[in-house]
Amino acid sequence: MTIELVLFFLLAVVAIGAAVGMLLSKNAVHSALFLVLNFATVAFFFLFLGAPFIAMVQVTVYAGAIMVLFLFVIMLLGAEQLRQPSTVLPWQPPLTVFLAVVFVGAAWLYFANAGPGSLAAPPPFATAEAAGAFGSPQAVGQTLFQTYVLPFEITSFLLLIGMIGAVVLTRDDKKR
Amino acid sequence: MTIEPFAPVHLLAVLPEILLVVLAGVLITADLALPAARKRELGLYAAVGFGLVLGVTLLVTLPTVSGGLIFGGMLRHDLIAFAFRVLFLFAGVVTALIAVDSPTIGKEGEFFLVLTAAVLGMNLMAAAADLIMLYVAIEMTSIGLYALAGFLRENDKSAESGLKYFLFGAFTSSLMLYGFSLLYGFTGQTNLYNLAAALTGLPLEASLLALLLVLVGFGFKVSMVPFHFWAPDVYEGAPTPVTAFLSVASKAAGFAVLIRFLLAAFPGIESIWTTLIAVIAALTMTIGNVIALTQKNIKRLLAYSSIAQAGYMLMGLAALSANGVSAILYYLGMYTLTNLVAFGVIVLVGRVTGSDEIADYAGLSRRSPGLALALLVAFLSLGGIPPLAGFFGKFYLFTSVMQSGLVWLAIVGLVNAIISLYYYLIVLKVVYLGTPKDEAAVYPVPRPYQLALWACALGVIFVGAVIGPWVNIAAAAAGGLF
Amino acid sequence: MFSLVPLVVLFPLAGFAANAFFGRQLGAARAGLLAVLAAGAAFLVAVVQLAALAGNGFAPVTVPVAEWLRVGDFHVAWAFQVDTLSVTMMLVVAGVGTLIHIYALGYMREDVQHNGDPGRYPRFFVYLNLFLASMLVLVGADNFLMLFVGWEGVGLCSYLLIGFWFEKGAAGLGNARAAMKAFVVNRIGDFGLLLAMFLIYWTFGTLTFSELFERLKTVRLDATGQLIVTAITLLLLLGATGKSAQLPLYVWLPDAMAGPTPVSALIHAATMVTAGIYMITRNHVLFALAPQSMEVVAWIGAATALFAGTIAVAQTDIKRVLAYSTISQLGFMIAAVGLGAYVAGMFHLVTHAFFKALLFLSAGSVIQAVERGGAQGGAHAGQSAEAHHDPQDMRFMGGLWGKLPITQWVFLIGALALAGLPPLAGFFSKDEILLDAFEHNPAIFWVLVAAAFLTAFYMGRQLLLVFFGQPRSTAAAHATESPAVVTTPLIILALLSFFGGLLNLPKFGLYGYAGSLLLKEFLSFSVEAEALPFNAFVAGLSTVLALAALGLAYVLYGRAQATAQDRDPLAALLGPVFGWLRDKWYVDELYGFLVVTPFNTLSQLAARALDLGGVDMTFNNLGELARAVGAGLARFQLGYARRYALVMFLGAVAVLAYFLIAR
Repeated sequence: MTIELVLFFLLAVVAIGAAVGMLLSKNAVHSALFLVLNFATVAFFFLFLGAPFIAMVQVTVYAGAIMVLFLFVIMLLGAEQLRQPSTVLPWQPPLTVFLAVVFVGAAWLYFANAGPGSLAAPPPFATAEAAGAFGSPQAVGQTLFQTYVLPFEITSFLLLIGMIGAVVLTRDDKKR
Repeated sequence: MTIEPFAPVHLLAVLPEILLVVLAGVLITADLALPAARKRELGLYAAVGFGLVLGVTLLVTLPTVSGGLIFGGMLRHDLIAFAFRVLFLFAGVVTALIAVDSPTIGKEGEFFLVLTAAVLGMNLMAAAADLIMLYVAIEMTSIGLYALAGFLRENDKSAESGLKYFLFGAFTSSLMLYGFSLLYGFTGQTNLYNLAAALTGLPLEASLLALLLVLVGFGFKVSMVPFHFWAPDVYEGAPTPVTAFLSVASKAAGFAVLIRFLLAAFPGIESIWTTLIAVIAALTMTIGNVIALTQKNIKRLLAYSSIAQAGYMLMGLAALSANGVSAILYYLGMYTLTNLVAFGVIVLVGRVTGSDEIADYAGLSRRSPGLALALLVAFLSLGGIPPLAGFFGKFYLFTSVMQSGLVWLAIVGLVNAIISLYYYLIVLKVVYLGTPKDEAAVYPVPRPYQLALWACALGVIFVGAVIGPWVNIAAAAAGGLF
Repeated sequence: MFSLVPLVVLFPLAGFAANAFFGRQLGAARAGLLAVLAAGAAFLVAVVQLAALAGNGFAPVTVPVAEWLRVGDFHVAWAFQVDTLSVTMMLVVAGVGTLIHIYALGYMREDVQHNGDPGRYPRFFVYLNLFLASMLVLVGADNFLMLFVGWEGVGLCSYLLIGFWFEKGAAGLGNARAAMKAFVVNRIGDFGLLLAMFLIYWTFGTLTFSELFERLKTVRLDATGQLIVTAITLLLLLGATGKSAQLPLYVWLPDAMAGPTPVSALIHAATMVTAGIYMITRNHVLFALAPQSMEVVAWIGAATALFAGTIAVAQTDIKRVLAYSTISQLGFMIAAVGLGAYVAGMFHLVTHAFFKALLFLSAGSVIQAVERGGAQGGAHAGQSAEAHHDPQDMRFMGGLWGKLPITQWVFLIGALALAGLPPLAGFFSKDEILLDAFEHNPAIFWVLVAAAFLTAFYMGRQLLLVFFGQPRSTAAAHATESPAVVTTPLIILALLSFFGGLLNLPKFGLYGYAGSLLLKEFLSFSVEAEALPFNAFVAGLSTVLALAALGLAYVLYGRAQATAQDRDPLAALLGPVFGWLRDKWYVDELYGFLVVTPFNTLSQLAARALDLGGVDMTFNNLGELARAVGAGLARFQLGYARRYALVMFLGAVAVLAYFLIAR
């Protein structure tokens, strides 16, 4: 029972609680804030795993930029209070919960009976430098711009398309 | 599999994709530059552009040896990627042609731009050999298609279809990404071709869980049961040229990744997933065909029909042989041509009558014999009537399944083919024997349209009459995967 | 030059397509001309192939065109086999075909006027070109499947052309019925051919001729193998009897005379009906392995020759006589190939094409002459006292000699060639067959001799009834000659019938001489060919019998009947037998009783009780079941995104469960 394990369980409870709170909350702003909490805990997990760069990226991009965007949209639309869904499917929520329990149980059984071969920790690093360099901005940058340069370029195009798609779907119908 | 170091000739391998980006640029500029009266030409530019890229693909990018990993292992330059690329570009040409004179989307430059992006994404999907590349390509395609499906914001149905497509797409995409991350987590590899070796040392459960999640994502794209629910609503609501493109290219892209992924990354657990795919194939065929029997809307009917067609193609995958994969390729080629003809006719009739109900097709043969004939060719091919290409497609699929010993699946497939014949023939009966409500209605068929319909209809007949070359190409492409 | 051979099919096919799609725009004259040009072009290509063969030392060449089917080990291609046998057939088919196309230009113009539908003119040439293309596919094929395509194609065109005037004929249905009969009877033959093909593939693993014959060269047959080969050859024979109108499947040919005369000439005399003989000759390697089958072939040929001859002597329709004559001559050819005398059979095929086409075309000229006379005579004399008679009925002809200067002479040449008088072509070809029969199977020899006697007799009878004596109707009295476009092909065919014997002059003793046995030399590169030396006894016997028969005909018919109603002199001679001959030995009625009526009853039973009651009921219920299931399942698709997601989740759980179990 190391300190890390205790902290992990604590943060895990917070993360899941925040996720459930996000789902169940009737107020959109509360939901968004729960989500921010969730992201923050995930950033902590990244720190535990020894990837400070990614943790910072998580906070900056997700919790910072994206959630702020969400909150802006919510407030612009005035959608703080979620309306009741127009049709209620009465037996759907219990069934979903039941299925979720079944799923988790099956997954647990699954891994409990895992055969030979180990899903244990990967082999340790060769040198101390390698350990320190793992997850650092240099390492990420190098991999990104050497091995994964093609997806990187394509992603830029993807962002353009995303933007255009968003503009098309939301623009006013001007007289042409 | 070794990753080849970068050589300038690799750029030739992605020349079509580069040209597609250039085409996108041209379309944006043209959209800004052209006056409103000439906006119609945008579609023609897009079609011509796709055609040129198709030409370049055929001439320049034919891979000489079977597949090498290029661009740091991101893409695999092999015959199957080439074959799919040709398919996607062709579908793009025809979609652009049938969208040209559409009153709602024909003048929108963004439509053709997003179409280009979708085709680009699909090209990359077919060639992708790395998890990250695969995901980026899938997202590129999907986001483009979400926008296309919901393009007509004013139209309730279109907005609903876009939203549903987006919701489900995002949902399954995230599950698939979780699967990818599990795979990376277990093995430390992102390259598909290194995954198989890395997975062999690990317990079976690891692979299976990853497989399950990945299957959710790909299954959505391919509309296999039980991930098919989005298809009827999306197909019905989207603007019909988009439906045509979806039903053909998106499905083909889904199969491209499914085939490559399953064969490259999970060869070790073949025995388990072949049975699974076989059962899913049987269910997909049956559910698709049986529900199609009750449909009154032709777009919905074709949606269920394409779900069933996906089921047939999954049979080829369950067969787990080069014959099976080559049968899928041949079938996809045939299916592309056939569905484009069918939807081409639907677009035109929808434009004139304003409706997609089957009852409104009554007596089409009298009002426009050419369109009725095109529909006849398409539906008979889908139903599997010789000597049209659909018959040989089904024949090869059944043969490959039986060669692999799954005789029960072939029987299910046969029964399904018979059931499907009913609803295809019912539509044809209405078209040929019904009395038209409006005898005088005129169905103008614009020039680019005629070209597209003729090319595809003749293709359906020709691909069926002279099957040798196509089967050879498909077999060669499939061989590269084994 | 060999690579040009696909054009021999593509030219007529192009003519077919052009006339089919644009016939109406082109107009009658241009449509006809286009068809003639297409046929002529095909003939030129055949000639080029001949030259190419000559340059190649007459060795066979295969010209592949395209892949067709490839399923596992089964592989069939579109390919042409250019060897002396197929080129012979191509030349005959395309050559005679072109002449008949030219003839049809003039003939059909009058025919469509006579039948009251001038717009149908281009359609005739559409069918005719399609027929030519199919027949050339048949003779050029290098494998059974392609041959079968041509086989079916000519069958289809035969149906279309016999029923060209589908609304006419007895009771407005007669022509359509005749077309149907031809098609259905041919189908029975085709069934035999198909079964033979299946057996061949199953036993030998290939359908390509060259591969099959290679395999057959080294094969050693045990008892089962012999049985199979015999079965194959008998089934091939069944196919041949269908297409070439032999016993028992000949009944369609006389009825096929309902079609316009160029059709009778081209399809039912010169080309399609020879397909059976070609097919057997092509497969001579197979037949050589089954001597029992060859016996059967020879006897069927001989029996048919005699049988048809007996019927021909009592017919009154000018075309029917020629039809039965064709059946009889085909019997000669089949007997020849059954005896192993392939060259003799092919020789007779070629010469028969010449003079039979000539006879049919001249008969057509005569018929139209009488029709013209009837129109004129009716105009002159007002309402005639005679009932409106069939222009093809010989009883109402007579005295046409002198009125039809060209037609009379060419008809005479054709008739004498058919009768087998030297030095016309028919003498040489028939004599070869008789010679081979004499050497190999005397029984068949005497049957064929009897048939030859009858041939000369009924041709003499026909000549005398049609051209000599007094005209027995006003129509005949006012008959006029046909236009040049009709008579010119006749002249060409007459020349071919006259000099056709030069193709294969016999050798005397052991000595050939320059120009002898040309055809035998030519064909020897494709089939085994022997040439028996000239036998004076056989030649003399056949000539003497021919002359005797003509003399007998003169005795009976020379002092011609004065009127149409007079009894046929032969009837007086033969008594009730004449009635049997005239009524075709009641074979049609027999078939009707044995086959057609039971078949119809069975069909009715199957349709009502079995099909409607049983099968339909079952499938209707199954269909309802499927629909009900569909409706039920459709209720899952209500449009709620949440519902969809739930079902997806359910699916994922199910898969996980499966993994758990399957692990």
